[in-house]
Amino acid sequence: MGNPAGPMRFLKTALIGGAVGGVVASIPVLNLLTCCFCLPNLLGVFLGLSLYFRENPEERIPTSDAAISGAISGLLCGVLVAVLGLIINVVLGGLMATLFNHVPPELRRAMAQSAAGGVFGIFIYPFIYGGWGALGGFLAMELFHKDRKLG
Amino acid sequence: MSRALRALLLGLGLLPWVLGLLALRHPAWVAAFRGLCHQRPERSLWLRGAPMVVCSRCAGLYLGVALGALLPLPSRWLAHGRSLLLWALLVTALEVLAQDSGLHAPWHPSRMGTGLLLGWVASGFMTASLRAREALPPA
Repeated sequence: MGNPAGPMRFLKTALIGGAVGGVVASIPVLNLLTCCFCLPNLLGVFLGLSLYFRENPEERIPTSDAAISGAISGLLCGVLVAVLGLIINVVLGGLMATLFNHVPPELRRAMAQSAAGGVFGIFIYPFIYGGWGALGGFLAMELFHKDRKLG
Repeated sequence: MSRALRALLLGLGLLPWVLGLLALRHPAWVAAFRGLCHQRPERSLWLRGAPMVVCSRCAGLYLGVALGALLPLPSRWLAHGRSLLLWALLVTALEVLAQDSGLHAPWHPSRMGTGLLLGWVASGFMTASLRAREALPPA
């Protein structure tokens, strides 16, 4: 390990990146970017790594550490996408129920499935987004911060 | 740590395939993946009588990620990893453009093939790089 603080030294910047990625991926319409190679997640991963390098201008890190930073960002991004998505679902569902006296059963079923998917997402999104985040961290290092690579 | 990262890539890459092959089609799984992929049935592979939870391009991408964790880029290609990645990205983007501009109808082999190529190059590049770093003598 290049730094005695270990991977935890990425925590602050990676969480900031993950929070930004998670919020972007949760905003209706903008969340469609997720279908394009998990773009908001990768944006958060890139942001987290860039913030770390800005805070530590002299440090060079191995690509494995960049992947760990990306995994941390992705994990938080996944948690936020699941939780915010669930909240948006519940709020929209409540709004529709109050606005319309009769919600068609198909729509009601779709909303219930979507909410169930949101609950499920709390368990699987951190894994999926964390995995893509690790890959994104490595790629961000190779493509945009190659001069900061150790070894 | 390198092994954990590879296991993460392998698990990630196999997930939609395991769901499809085991016919795990609970609506909650499908809804969870809806946030990650458009899931249009005509653009998805069908396994065991039902569309996969992701489209054929994403299915290729996931499979490529799993493949890259098991079969990294050859070490002599490592120096060209960035170029290979950009080429794979370009080929995938061209396929997306050709399909969406109507030059050809959505075609699973080209959708899945380009996704697989991109996923394998990205994941195989990462795995090869981690392996090369492990092989270095400790500083």
